[in-house]
Amino acid sequence: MRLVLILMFVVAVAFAKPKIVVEEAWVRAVPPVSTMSAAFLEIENKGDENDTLLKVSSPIAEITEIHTTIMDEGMMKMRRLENVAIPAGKSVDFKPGGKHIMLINLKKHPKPGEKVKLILEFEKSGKVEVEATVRGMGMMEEHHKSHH
Amino acid sequence: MRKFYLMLAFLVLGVYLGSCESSKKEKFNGTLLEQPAYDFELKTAGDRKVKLSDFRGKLVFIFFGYTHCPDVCPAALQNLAKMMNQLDKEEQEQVQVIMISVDPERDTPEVADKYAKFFNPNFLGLSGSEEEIKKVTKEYKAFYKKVEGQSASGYLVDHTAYIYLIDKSGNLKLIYSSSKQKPELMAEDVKKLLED
Ligand SMILES: [Cu+2]
Repeated sequence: MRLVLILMFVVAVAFAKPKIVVEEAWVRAVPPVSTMSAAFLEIENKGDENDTLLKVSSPIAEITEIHTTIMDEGMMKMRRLENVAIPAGKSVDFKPGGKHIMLINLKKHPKPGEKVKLILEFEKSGKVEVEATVRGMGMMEEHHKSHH
Repeated sequence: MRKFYLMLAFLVLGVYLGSCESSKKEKFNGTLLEQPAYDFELKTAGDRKVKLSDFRGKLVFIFFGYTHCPDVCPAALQNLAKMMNQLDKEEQEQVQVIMISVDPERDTPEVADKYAKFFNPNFLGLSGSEEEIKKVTKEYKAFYKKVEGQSASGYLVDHTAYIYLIDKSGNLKLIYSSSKQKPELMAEDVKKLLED
């Protein structure tokens, strides 16, 4: 009986886990003279325990930081975030004009359609690898359309 | 008596034009300002001098940004490029988009211009000395501030992110806050201004 109880306890603890799902990851294509770009994504915690995004890295950038853009009395400010809480059952959006993964000192220029690897490191879930698609400026596609 | 009719005609015309003017005022998507725009002189690629007054007779969009900015600046320039694509060829020829760098330390006229041209080959990127950029931004009530120690990328630049629209006679006509910087909204205003 005692063994069953212990087992049940172990199982319960084992199941109380964050479950990180990353979706919609993309990297912004930037002009060749630019040394920086940004990655955007959606992090969902489908588990029942909170987790925290600690850092991100990518083979295309020398330095990767977590940033947020804030609007303050008409001023656009970018600030570095130490980490980002991903609460259980919640989804956190990294999107233009808000949180983003800043890719600094690009080693390789991301071209539209290419895949860029991002390695996200969480406090509890550990490393999560994501393939982000490079998105062009939008007007390229429209250029094509108007030519046909 | 003839004089009276003539006066009446002027009066009617005046009222008609006046009502036209006021109804037009309501219709722009950007915020209406209508004041003389400061005629800057800055540099583009090849150290070529560019003055705002070089574009008299055209509509000029101005955006203050910097090339180390990966989020807000590309988004604004992208919207301006999409706006251009919503115009026909004839309209496009009457519109000039200019990006002025608020990071003259890192953005040479060459870099600023290459950056702008990535979004549309007819865009123009400008830069200048620290003093010149200070003066231009002050005249347009744009602000920027270097922020050290935030990022390993060196410094970041806080800046206002408005888009300014200068009319054909060199007046600062409209200003777009970030929520109004949509391609279709700006294109609509351009078409209206080109009609006059
Ligand atoms: Cu950033």
